[in-house]
Amino acid sequence: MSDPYKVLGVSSTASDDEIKKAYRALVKQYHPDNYADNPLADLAAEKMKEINEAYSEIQKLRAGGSSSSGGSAHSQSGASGNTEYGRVRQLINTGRVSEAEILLNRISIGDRGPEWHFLKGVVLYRNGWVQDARTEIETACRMDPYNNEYRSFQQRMNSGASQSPYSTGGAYRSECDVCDVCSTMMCLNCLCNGGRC
Amino acid sequence: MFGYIRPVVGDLLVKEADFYDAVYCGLCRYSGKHLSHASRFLLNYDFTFLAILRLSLTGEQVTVEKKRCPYKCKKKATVCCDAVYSYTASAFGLFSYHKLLDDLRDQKGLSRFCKRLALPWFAHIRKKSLAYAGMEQMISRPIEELHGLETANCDSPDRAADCFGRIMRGIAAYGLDGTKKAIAEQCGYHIGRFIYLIDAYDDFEKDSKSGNYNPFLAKYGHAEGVRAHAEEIRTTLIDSMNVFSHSYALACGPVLTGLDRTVFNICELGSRAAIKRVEEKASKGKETHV
Repeated sequence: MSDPYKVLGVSSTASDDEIKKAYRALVKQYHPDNYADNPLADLAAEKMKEINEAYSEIQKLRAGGSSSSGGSAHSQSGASGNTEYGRVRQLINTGRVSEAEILLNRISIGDRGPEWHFLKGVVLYRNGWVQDARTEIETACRMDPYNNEYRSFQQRMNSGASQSPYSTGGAYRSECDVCDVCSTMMCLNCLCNGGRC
Repeated sequence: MFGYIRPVVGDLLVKEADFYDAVYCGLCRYSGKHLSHASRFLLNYDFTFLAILRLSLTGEQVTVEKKRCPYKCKKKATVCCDAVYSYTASAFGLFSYHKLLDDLRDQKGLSRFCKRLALPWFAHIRKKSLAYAGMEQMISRPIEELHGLETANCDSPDRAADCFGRIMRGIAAYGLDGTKKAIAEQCGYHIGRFIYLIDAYDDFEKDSKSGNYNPFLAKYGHAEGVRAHAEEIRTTLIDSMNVFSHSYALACGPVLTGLDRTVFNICELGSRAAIKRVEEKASKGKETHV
């Protein structure tokens, strides 16, 4: 395994608090919820596993123990009464999206309930057809407004770039901390009327 | 149809903005030397972005040198990374040629006449861009498909944008493998989708007057219908860039590099600035229409 400190982007002399902070920022960034139904979900899960392993490795090293690997895997479940939809979900989860789409299209129009629209939306989203995916998911939510799975998918689509490391500052840490401290002190000094208050 | 993918320079660090300019300069210089001098005037922000994305994903070592620019009559900082430039310039040359052929089929009048005159130049650029096996089919086939959809007046913007998305996906991921390839495919697809759709949104007024194909006019019926669905169009454009930044985040280390920040700047801030520009133009069009 590569250097666990490098994985978390901290130096080996970093304090426990700094490590915890870096770990939390990375977990927030690569959390499987941000990537559920994204074609790169497995990559995100791998990255998450790597981060978890690095963190537990560092904890073990600091506690004086020996190293061994561990990690958490995210499992995604979707309740489905219909066996046909169960097969579609299985195909989507294994990345066989075009087969899932063929199976969905075989279901006659009269039998297409909210779950059909939801799964169609997921398939379209995976193919990059984001506009049609949104329409299908909205239809599913309208037909079954109390379904948490459909709602959370819609919310994830809406949450958008709010999880991006660039817009949130996320895992990005400024290279100029000392300057920040100085400029903050100067601002405080100005607020206090140059120390004459 | 290009020029939407560019950074918000005010939000970049000075060294990042300088590096971006130096990549543009290097790509311009390379294509001038290896394709044709005319190609330097056709180069655009979108292919510079593809070069930056590729540079970031391949991690190629670069050097920055000061070289004289014949058009600016002074020395300019230039990033030297021949492998990335050679690839991007070839993709650019082939794409420009096939796009021109497509335009010649669709357009009429003076515009068609001028493009017909320029065809031998573009054929020369194409000839110089054939270094990468399979790249030409990767670009020409989806353009053919898109032409078919346009003739059939396809009313699904997603389906029409899919062709363009596949071209950019192919270009972005060519020659990469494993994780980098998967990330490049997603990023490329959504950049292509975004470019196609925002260009269609930018041109819908013009197309409604000229009667040319426009996926949004086909879906919503008329220009007023497109304006009424502005929010929906905006959402789908932002959705694409969201998928892009989620995917690209997987290629980043725990601390963002200057290149990462430039890519995020372009796809998050730059894309929103482009949407705003197009929306302002659409609302101005509405005022003059009323």
